[in-house]
This record gives sequence, structure tokens and C-alpha cells, in this order.
Amino acid sequence: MTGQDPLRTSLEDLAGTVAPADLYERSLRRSRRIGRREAAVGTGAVLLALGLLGSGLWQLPHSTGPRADGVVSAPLSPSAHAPATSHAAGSAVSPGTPTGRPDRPDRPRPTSTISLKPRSTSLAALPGKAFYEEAGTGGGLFRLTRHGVPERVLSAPFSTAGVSPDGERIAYVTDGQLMVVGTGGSDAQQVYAGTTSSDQAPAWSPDGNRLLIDAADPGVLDVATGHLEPLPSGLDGEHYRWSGDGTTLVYATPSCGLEVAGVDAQTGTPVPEQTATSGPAACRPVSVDATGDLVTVQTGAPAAGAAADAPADAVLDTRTGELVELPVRGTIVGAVFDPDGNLLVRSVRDGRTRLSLFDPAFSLLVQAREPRSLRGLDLVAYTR
Amino acid sequence: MDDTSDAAYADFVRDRSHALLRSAFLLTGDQHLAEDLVQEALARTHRAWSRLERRANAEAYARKVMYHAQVSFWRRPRVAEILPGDDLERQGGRTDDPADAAVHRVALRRALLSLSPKQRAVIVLRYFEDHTEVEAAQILGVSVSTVKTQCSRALDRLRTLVPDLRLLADAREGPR
Repeated sequence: MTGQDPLRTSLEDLAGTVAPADLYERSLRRSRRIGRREAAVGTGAVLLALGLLGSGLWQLPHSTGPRADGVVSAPLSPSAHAPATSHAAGSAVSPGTPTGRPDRPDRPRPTSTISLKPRSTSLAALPGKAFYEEAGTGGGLFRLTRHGVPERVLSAPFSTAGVSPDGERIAYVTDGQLMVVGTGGSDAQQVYAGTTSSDQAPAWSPDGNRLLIDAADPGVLDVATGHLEPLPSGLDGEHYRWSGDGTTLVYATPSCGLEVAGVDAQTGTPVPEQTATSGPAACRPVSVDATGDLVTVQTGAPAAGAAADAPADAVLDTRTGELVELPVRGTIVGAVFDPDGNLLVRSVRDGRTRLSLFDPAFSLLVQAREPRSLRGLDLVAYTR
Repeated sequence: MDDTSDAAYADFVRDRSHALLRSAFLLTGDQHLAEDLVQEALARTHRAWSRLERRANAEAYARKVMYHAQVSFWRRPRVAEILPGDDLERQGGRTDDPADAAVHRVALRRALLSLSPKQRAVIVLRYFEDHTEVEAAQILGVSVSTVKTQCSRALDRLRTLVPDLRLLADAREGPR
């Protein structure tokens, strides 16, 4: 090998553009997760075998083999209890579903792919609160006022942040500390130390009492008591998001697949392969509707190095893996669900940016021009 | 792992992460995806650490995991996207001009991303990491003939997309 040929030189040149990264802690955390998952699956298999022996099912001549997901859905360890279960409002999870995904009628889908007539064209008619972030992390968090002005609600530096369902509090991570501050300008309070947030922005539970964070491992933090309950090891993922009714978690697996799990489940259900999307769509759910059936994702082709926190630009059906066609003209540059399942879509057409608010039945409630003052900001949350 | 092993693993990560990242970047075309890929490879190396007798084995193990992860068992293609409308045919003229060099990098990156994962892995193994066809086949767990076939197809595509790389194939396609 001479090392002088154009391809080698070009590859060296291209490889030289990658930035150094400290991967020690990240690799250890991932290693621990792999270890726990392997242990959980092994323990589950033993329990299943013991159960079969005890029940005598193994003697049935024509019985079908146990489903793989049944293996890991058995109660595996006392620590594998998600606290969200006992607190979740309406956590009516079907006990018969191995991964606890609630069985419910299909959620309504848009009945038209063309633009609808909105009930209001005034920005002031938005019933909830829209939040924006300066492109890139830690640049500032803003709330859109009824007068169409971005009002800064978080000025402290942060790596990731999450807005509470009522829009009144912000949880953010700075220097490994998890802080909570009121959007009205109250003093920030530290609620946890030792948070690593690159894979998990603080995600508020629908009742606003708990935060799903990534400490040494992903877990649910009781904001009042500071108690952190680890997630079941079978829920191996990142970028966890709650459904608005508190029954379901949607998250990305380390290998960039989406999974859905009931809050008291031990493992998740993979979302069917998404044939209509590519790129980072399955790597980071952005927001989840009220039931967990729909999730906003980022499907576009961001520039290299800028993909980590790009805003959502599509809605994906977690039951089918298909994208939901939205009746919005132009290019979608932001899409977020509020806890009640209302969907706020930000779109650009002919240089004009619009906000469209759909209710859970996809009726168009509000469609209004977005003020120019919001240019350069990313839509990141919509709350009550 | 005991304290000695922990320290050895920490040293290994500190010393070799960037080298792994360089290869991972060529495989994925994206900083974040490359970090994810190396993280996965390092984590699995950490789990196997007690079975690896020598440090050289650790890097070989990590690289093997990395290539297998990229080619085989990651559920979705973990590469950056190619932007639509790229006119690669007109890109690739190499000069010493920094701007032209940047254009060339973009063209090469996009050309790499247009290859299949296995083709990309073969190119990186053969032309970046200097492995022989036999070594590349062993790392990827495929036959030597598969490596030859994938390499030939990949070079054809790269020649098309990055014209100034045409020179490479004539000199490099012979068996090693």
C-alpha cells in the first residue's frame, strides 16, 4: 500500500474533519445497559421455563411456542417497576398485552390533504403556549406571547430543556445539574445532580410532578422528593417521551428504531419499519400525542453535525410506521403535540411562516401568520 | 472489571477513540452518528474486556464490532442523508485551493454515502485502514470474492461521482 493514491489521501482528508469526542462515560453507560438487558432476558427465560414446567403446558402436543415478547414481559425484578404506573392518570394498561400498550380505537386521521378553513386566523386565538429555542443548544428559550412577541423565559445557559405540560415551569440541565425554574422568572432550584442529558432532555410527566431524565441510567424523578426510580432495563433507549394521558412512553432505541411501551411494561413494542422516512426520523421522537399513537419526528436531511436537536417536521403513526399526511401547505419546519393531543404545525410557504393548530380530530382550529421576530428560532414545545 | 482493568479500558478509550471516530465518520458521514457507532463498539468492547488478552486485540475487536454494527445489525441505515439536487458530476476537481478542497470533501462524502453499507465498509477497510482483501473479508465475515465484488462496484461508483479519483482504480484493483 503506497498511501499516496488519490482515494487514500481524500479519505484521510475527509476523516480529518471529524471532531474529537469524549466517549468514555457514554460507552460505560451503554455497556451497563447492555449488561442489564442481557440479564433481564436471561432471567425472563428462566422464569418462563419454570412457569412452563409448573403449568404442564410443555406436555401439550400441539401447543404453540411462547412468543418472544412474552418472555421478557414477565415480572423480572422488584426494581423493574416504573413509578409512573402508580401515579399516571388513567393508566388503564391492558394486562393482557405483553408490552402493556393500551388497546384503544384508532385515533382520528386527517380527512383531507388540502388546506382547511380555520376557525380563527388570529395568533391570539391559540389556547396554549408555544415555546421556541434559538437554533443550536443553549441559546435561549422563548415563549410566544399573545401579542406575537417572543418573550425570553430561560436565560441561563443550558444543554437541554423541557417545558412542563402547563407551560409554567422549565426543567433544564446545566453542568450536569437538573434545574427547575418558573417561566415567570422565579429563582431556579436544583432538583437533581449528576444528570447527563445528551440523549435525554428532561421530559415532564403529564401531571407535572415527575421528570423522566437520564442520570446514570434513565429514570423517573419525583420532583418533590428527589427520588429517582430507574426505568425497567427492558426499556433500553433514549429520548423518552410521555403520551399526554400518561399511559405510554415512546422512545428511540440505541440502533435508531422507535419503540412504544406502556408505562408499567418491561419491554417496548417496535414501531413497524418506516418505509416512508429515512435519516434521523426514528432516532429521536420529539413529542407524543395524548395516547401514544402519533409522534412528531424529524425526517429531513439536516446538515452534518446539526441533526441532534432539529425540530420535528412530520407526524408518524406508531402503529403502522407510516407518516400522516397533514393538510398544511408549504414546508413543515416544526410540529409539536400538547398533552391533550392538539398539534401545532409550523410551515413555510412563499417566504411566509404560518402556525396551524389542529385538535385531536385534526380539525383546524387556528391558522395564523407567524411574526417575523421568531425567525431564527425553532419551535420546540406547545403546552396548555 | 477490577481497578486495573478499568484503568486500562479508560486508557484504551482515551488513546484510540479518535482513530475509531475517523473510520466511523467515513462509514456514517455524520459526527453524531459516528459517535453513536463508536460508543456502541466501545461498550461491547468493554463487556468483552476481560476476554481480550492484549490491547491490540481490543482495538481489533472494537473495529470488528463497529463494522458489523454498521453493515449488519443496526435496524435502520445509520448514515447522514444525501441532499437532493447535488450535482456530483461537476464536483471533485482537486486543487490546493481550500475552497476547492472543501468542495472535494463534500463530493467524496456524498459519493461514499451513495454506496451500500457493505461497499462503504470495504472501501474504508481497503483504502483507509490499509487492510488486504483477506483481512477485510475476515473483519466483515464475508468471502474474499465478496470483498472483491463489492470493492469493484464501489470503485466504479466513486469514479463516476468523483471524477478525479479515476486514477485510483487503475493502480489499485489488483489483488493483494
